[in-house]
Amino acid sequence: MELFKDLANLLNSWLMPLTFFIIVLYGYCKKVEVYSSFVEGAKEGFNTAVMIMPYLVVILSAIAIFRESGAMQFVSDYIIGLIIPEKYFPPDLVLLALTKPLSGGAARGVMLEIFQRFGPDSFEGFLASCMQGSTETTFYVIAVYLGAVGITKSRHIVVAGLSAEFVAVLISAIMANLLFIGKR
Amino acid sequence: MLNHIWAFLMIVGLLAGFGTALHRTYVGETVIKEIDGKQTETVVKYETFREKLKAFSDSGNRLTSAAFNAVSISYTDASGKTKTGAIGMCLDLIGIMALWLGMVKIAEKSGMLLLLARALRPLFRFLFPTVPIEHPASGAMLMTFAANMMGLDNAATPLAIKAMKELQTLNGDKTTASNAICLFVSLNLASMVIMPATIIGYRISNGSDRPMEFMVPMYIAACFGLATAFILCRILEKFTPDTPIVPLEEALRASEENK
Repeated sequence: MELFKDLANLLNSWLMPLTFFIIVLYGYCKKVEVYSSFVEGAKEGFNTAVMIMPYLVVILSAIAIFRESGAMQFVSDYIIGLIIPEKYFPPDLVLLALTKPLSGGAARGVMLEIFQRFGPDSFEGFLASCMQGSTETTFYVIAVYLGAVGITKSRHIVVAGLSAEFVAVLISAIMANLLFIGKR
Repeated sequence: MLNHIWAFLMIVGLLAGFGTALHRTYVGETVIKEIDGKQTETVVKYETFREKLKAFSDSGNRLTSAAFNAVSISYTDASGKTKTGAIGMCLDLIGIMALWLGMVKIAEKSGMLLLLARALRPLFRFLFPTVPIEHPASGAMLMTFAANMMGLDNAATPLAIKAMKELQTLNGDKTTASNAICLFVSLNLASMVIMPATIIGYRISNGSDRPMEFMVPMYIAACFGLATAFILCRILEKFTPDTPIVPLEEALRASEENK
């Protein structure tokens, strides 16, 4: 198990440098204008980051108020806490699981809020990253994809999509709890 | 839907803030303080009118500063730690996103994304038996999946819309989703990301020591999600009739006209 962890760590730590190396080498060999292509893409990246700013502000401020007022504590103690054991699945992550199918921006905000409070390397931060990476913004995707071609009868898409999200969240929670045994 | 959730957070939050302030003023407040390394709870009570007034306005200030801190560049929290606010995160993200999308642009121009798409072809025959491989729909779907794998949410959407339009040329009933469309959308609803660049970026900007640690468990969870979407589609598509399939020549003609 320890060896597996070290190997996974090795793979993870070299994935990014290796990807960069392959992309640049392949592009250069194919005589692509690597420099100007990079700049072109980087501009898109800049725009994306600026574009999400209002979405972050809107959700982070609302959550901050919701928490500071004591409402979050109340909800987690008396409503969610009775259904889902807080130790294994903290209330902040319930919020993340509930917002993810609705809005990518809002879910991102919730995840960042978790990072701010617990730190990205904590159990909560870890689980939030897993959930964020293994789920998609179900309703947004359905609305955009089907809307683009004018399909109104979606048949079983919603059921399949929401089930996929539920399973991904469940597996994330199980994995995170297993990996953090004895660390909390 | 999000409209309701946000309004709920704001209205309930502010009302609860008011309630908490009243509670603090009239019943007293439990303060956790560290004395000699031990956390002890003490109850502070406000007796005189002026103390009560001060406690009440203090609660309002706390709500205000909580909201302002959350959207700032960086702030110091009650325990003295420096934390990043919303704008600070965006500033950090600008660099990371620019770096990553720059790399992806090179990959796109050098044809590497297309290469990835070709490698997935055999899988496609199995997943979408009603979509002939020579129809442009399969190429468009491959590109969408490739973009999703690279963690390019924004690039994936236009590619996906193109794929949907191509799939629609094979669909005999334009207002109902065909089996192929159902499976394509459902697979997109599960995550298939290989390089979650934004999440890694956020982890780095929040001071993570091990920004990539979550990836292997994430892959496992995502695989389960994908399997669920696929299996459910294959089961549920039996319950409602599939739409008629447009013959290939006709579909190809329609797809030509789209361009």
